[in-house]
Amino acid sequence: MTDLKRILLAEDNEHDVELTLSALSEYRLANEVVVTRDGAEALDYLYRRGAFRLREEGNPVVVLLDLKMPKVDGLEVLRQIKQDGALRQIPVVMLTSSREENDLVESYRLGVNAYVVKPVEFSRFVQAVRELGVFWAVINEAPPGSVRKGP
Amino acid sequence: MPSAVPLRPLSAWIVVGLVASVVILIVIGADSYRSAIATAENARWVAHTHEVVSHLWNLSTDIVTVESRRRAHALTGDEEQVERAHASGASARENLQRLRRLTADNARQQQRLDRLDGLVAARVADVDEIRTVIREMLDEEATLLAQRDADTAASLRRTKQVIALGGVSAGALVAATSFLFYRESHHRQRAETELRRREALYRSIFSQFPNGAVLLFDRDLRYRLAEGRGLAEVGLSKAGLEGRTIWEALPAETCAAIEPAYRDALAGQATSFEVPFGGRHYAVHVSPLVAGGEAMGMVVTLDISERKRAEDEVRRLNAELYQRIVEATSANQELEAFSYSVSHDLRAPIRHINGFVDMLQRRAAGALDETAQRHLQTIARASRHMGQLIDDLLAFSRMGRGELARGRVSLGSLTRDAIENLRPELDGRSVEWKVDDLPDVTGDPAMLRIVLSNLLSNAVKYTRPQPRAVIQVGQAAGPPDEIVLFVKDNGVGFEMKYADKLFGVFQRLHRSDQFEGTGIGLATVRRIVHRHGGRTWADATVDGGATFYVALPARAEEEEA
Repeated sequence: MTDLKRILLAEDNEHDVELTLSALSEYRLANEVVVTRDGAEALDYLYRRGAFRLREEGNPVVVLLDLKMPKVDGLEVLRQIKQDGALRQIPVVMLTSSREENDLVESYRLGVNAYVVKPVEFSRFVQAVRELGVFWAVINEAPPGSVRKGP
Repeated sequence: MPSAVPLRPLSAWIVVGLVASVVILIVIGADSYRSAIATAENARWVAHTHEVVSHLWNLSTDIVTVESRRRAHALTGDEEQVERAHASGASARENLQRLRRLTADNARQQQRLDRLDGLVAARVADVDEIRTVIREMLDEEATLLAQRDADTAASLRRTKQVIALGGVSAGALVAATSFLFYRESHHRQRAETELRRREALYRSIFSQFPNGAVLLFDRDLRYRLAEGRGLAEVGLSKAGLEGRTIWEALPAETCAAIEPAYRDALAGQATSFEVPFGGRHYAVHVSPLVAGGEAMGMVVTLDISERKRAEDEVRRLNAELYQRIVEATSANQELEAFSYSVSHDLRAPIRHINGFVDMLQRRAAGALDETAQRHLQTIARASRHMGQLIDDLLAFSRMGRGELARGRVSLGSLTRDAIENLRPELDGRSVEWKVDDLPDVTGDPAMLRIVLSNLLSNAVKYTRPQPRAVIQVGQAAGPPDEIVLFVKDNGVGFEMKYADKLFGVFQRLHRSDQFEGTGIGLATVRRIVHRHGGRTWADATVDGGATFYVALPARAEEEEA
């Protein structure tokens, strides 16, 4: 097996978390996913503070961000990642229910790497998540500093 | 006040005529006077001559008497004769004395008197000689008299001529002058009448000045003129203003408001302002004015209460309108927030239902009987439909909001793109596309893309029962200010009595188990076309196919749907 890479998923809705993990698990990527339940936790993880201050070093190979979350929303997390020299190279994918054009425009303005509207149909959702996971976690060559686990 | 029509000075000719007449009359008078004097003088001289002649005759008689007495004495020796001769001799000497006095101014007569003295003094008088001298003297006087008479006659003749000529010319002059004077005074009268008429006109303009007043004031801020219908409306009068200063005529707060402008006008600076007075609103224009060489100020006031009211009304309406806009904007923002919420919050549960049903199907497929599995499929299908409804509704809502982009849009390339995007739905179908040459239009490219995409996707959907579908896209004939596009299919068609319902939201003419759909596609088409200022309609027969028409303005103007 090739190197496995850690994925950070920020999602407040437990059903979405379960569906996303289920979709990723079909391609044996689930064990590499760190789940945070709001934007603040996601930032804590990235900056290794709070509950995550003791976590091992290294950035995730990709961050999957829900747009609408309590405390700190996805756009704010995106803004902080892209403004931080140490984090800005991490690919960020907006994974959201919203089709709102404003969100789309704002996300790209802030430097998002991909913007995916979650399809209602589960099979298409699975397909979308799979493609994301495979592309960002497997195919894409991660920037230096990302975590790699040996086989 | 305008200056009067200039009065012409009395014509110079009248003056000349009058002076000439007077001169002529003076000349006539002077000449008559002189002539009278000359006549009187002449009469005196005539009397004088007669006296001289009478004395000469007496002298002659005396000398003859003396001689005849002497002769009588000589003949008779009568002493009485001597005495009588002496008496006559004394009378003769006396007459000589008188004659000498009377003819003192005539040298020739004096010489003759000298000769007579000598002759009379001689012892023997030469009577003939004496008679000759006396006759000479008489002749001399007669000559003088004739001379004087001739002179007098000439003088009288000349005087008559002067009087006649002078009288005629003076009369002519007076007549001419009178004519000139008459003409002059007639002209004057006419000018004065015109002047009065014009003054009355000006005065009536001022006094009838509508909707306001005209005022003139001097450097003491004293009103010199106050006219206009507007005066009475605010309880002022001509009499109450003219001759009074502003402080005497108006309330103190009004004076305070107008005084600076009045002073400016006197300094040559015009001002316009608005002032409330007597419950009305006035536009006041104060400007400098030079009248009769005096620097004054002119005030023109106009009652603008009606305009003010109208302006207030406009302001009120504007404020109301603004308020409505604010409300509408806020309503729109609420709608946006609602749409966002629908988009995010409503889609998520649908997605979860669909997702978990799917997982359930995978996990429990073997444990469920056929009916249970069909129920799960129904739940999955229903949730998909719900998701589609939400997406379509949001799209429809977006079509009504936001600015329309403007650009050249090629209907031809939009059609080709739309057909390309429909490929996945054409699997296993036989569809013949007939796309005519299509024009360019002005409009929002993204929105018009949705129009074509919806129309073509409908055509594909409703021709599904046809073994061989034919879909035509072309340009129909229409009025010159419109471009009419049509999409014609040979599908199931519909009953024309429902044609208008087709374009309503959620309006469907087919059961969803026949043709899937949300009933929003044509409503979106109509909304977009309306926003472009166009119109939509359809034509169909049941099982005979349908034709949908979209007419867009040749020059698109935005219209709210």
